Amino acid sequence: VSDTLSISDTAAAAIEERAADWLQRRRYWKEWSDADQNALDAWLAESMNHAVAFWRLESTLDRVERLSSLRPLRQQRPITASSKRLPWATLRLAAVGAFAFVGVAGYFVWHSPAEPVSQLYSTGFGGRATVQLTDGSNIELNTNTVIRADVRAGKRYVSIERGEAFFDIVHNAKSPFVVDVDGHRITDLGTKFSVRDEPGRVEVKLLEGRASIASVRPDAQGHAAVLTPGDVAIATANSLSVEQRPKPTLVKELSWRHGLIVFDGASLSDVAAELNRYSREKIVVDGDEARRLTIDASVPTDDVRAFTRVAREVFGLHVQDRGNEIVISR
Amino acid sequence: MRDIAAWFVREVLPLEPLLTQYLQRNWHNPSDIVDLRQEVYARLCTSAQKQFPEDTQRFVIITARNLLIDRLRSARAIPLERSADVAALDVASDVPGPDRIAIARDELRRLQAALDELPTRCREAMVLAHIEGLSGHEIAQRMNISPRMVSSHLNNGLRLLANMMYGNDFHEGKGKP
Repeated sequence: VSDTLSISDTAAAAIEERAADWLQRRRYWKEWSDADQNALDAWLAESMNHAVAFWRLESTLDRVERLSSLRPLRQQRPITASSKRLPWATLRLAAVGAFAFVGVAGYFVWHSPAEPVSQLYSTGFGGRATVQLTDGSNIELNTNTVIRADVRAGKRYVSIERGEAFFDIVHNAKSPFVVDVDGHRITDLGTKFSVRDEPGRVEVKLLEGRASIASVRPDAQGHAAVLTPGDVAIATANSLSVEQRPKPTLVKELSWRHGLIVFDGASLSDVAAELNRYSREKIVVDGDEARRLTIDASVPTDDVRAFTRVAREVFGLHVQDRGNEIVISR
Repeated sequence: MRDIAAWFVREVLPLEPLLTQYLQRNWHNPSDIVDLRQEVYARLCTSAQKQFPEDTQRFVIITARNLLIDRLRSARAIPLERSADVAALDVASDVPGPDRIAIARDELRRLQAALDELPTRCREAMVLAHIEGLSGHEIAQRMNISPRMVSSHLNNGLRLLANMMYGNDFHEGKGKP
């Protein structure tokens, strides 16, 4: 009797349609304003039928999201819930709780249209994944990241569409490994480095080996640099700067590879900005006094909300949950 | 309201196959099921605002039964054979509860199977949104369709996935590989 793929045409169905419309506008289109949120809140308050239809679809979306961030991709070996604990990562805030490592138990292949050559790898908010390429190189993806990889005989090419990735590249003199990101090209000769793509800015941190970075955008002013261990390159459309950082600092900055975001004397506003990369719910810090607070903390990448609990319970800050926004104030 | 929402998602939604099955068994018109189900949910949550029930499953079935009785009273023509059933409903022993552990274990497979069941264009939009992380506008470009069509695909995708992930279709073996 029941037909899975029919959407019925009733009063309840009309409400559900409206709920789906709110949800997908908030989730998939980048045009959600405070006015929209207020309108949604008003619609939800109007009737419990509205609310239950919305909650039902919202939790479906949450499940889809949660499962997609657990998704190991094609060609990928499962990530083991490893015991790679960081020696320096003392958990200064006990309330943050146990280290939550992302362990991928299930194997899950999405049926996307056939892609003969380049493979697409991605993670959702708070997600993390390791991709093992056929040449033995490894790429670790941080939160909210999309890359394309084209690795075959005589060619090793990756483009970063968004997010952050750590590369551990197997040396092959005949075939340099090329990474393109936002108009910049990184060419490496057997190295370990990370690339982070942000609006208008690319950051490359080199841990081991040697690599070059150059602009490949035809209209940009040509710039290029050779990176050695400890170098951090910051490239924009028109500039390239390189600075040295001590290796322990770099390792700490890359602690997302082990499922942690580590803050060492960071301001609360910087903490919020960093944590917001890992979650669709955004933390907003209200008031200059609160913004300037200095924080030492280690936060699991897949449970950013742990931080808001600590902010309330340990730092005694006001935490107000507004659904897709969490406001922290003094 | 947030604790009601959390309770609803955690305690009530997993019972959707049970509730749907109950309604299907005891109501004469299959096209009313979606309406009835939503009304049961609304009544449950309204009541939970005052107090959370101790036994959610029992409460869900009692609420459903009361709703069916209300509907029968207000209906102009009562289908005789069904109304007799409703009056005699045995709440406690009617249907077994879902196997929650199995549901958790099968969740990935369910989602995979649910996606496979979606209409092609609808699935394409959902995959682009969730796997490639594209925005609505980017999906429109990629699929070469209007933003309005993208909205419609995503709307339908979400609603169909909800039906398949919470509904009882999987208990009937539908969509399994």
